[in-house]
Amino acid sequence: MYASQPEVLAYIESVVSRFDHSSHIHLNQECTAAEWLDDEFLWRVHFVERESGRTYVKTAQFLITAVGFCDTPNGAEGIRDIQNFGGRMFHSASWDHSFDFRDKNVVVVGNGCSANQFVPHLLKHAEIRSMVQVMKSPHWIAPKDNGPVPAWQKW
Amino acid sequence: MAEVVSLGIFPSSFPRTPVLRNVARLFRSFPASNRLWRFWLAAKLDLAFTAFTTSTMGKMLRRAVQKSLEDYIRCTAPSEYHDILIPDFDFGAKRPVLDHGYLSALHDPRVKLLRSPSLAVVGPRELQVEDGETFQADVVILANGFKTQELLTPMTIMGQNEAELPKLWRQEGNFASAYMGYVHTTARGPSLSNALTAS
Repeated sequence: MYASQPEVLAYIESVVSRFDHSSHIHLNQECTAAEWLDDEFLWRVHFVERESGRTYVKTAQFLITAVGFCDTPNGAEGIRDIQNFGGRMFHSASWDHSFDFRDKNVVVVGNGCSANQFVPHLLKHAEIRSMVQVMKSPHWIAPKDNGPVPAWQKW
Repeated sequence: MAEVVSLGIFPSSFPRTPVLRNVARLFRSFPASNRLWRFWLAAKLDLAFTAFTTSTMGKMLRRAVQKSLEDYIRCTAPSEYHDILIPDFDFGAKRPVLDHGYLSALHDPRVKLLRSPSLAVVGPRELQVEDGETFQADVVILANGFKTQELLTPMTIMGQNEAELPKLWRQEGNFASAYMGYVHTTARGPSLSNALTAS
């Protein structure tokens, strides 16, 4: 069973509001460094507030990193002469929601999990003119069994 | 030395069989039976570890999985793309992808799939693949993955004696890695259950 993004987001938001957690969560903050202070027995953690660029420091007895490994997107350096490209370009992980796809020629670079998810979505919901997808190597692609969970299965 | 095999994640391609009415009734009357059934389902997934080994059984299992996935790709994607879509490497060598309607979407007449080792910009809004074919581009969406080998970067994590974490990992030759990782056959349980639920 697979939940869609809006469903997952709605769930997270409901948990946050149910336990009144919003004051403990700070979004758009980038952690740039963390250092262990031997004398004080503390971690000193450096942050940048993304919107204002303001930097600040927090100290903590415990530091838990839960950053995952799909956090830094690959760049476009693999595309020759990319500096000459005059169109719009973004990585699927930092999607440009302001971009109007109507009547546009779209090029997709890659065919992994990300492309697999947004290619059908774009074709269905955006009125693009054309799409060319360029892949380097294939993946084994498996069917996703998905469907509603009947009431008796929820326990 | 213990045997090390390359890691892939087993897809959730086990058939989801509907639960029969009398089985459902059994679950309802004896809640423990439901738990047992659930345990069996989980154990079945763990048994799939054999598919990652180089044993005869492992090879057979892989072949069976590959056959079913190849059939799936063949009957879902347009025939002109079968050659470039079906991998020539063993199942498990790379993370498999779960299909979100992608293969059937390739039937859309507006979309074209090309396989090329390189890509180049040849005009302000024009790109070219290795064999010389060019096409228009108003927007390029990069779906080329993440820097999966650079855990915790660009953060600087400094520990005792000013030791820097990623540097330390590299030094020791045991650099923490994920996608290009491996499964240790003697630690199958935990590694596999993580791997299975990760995708």
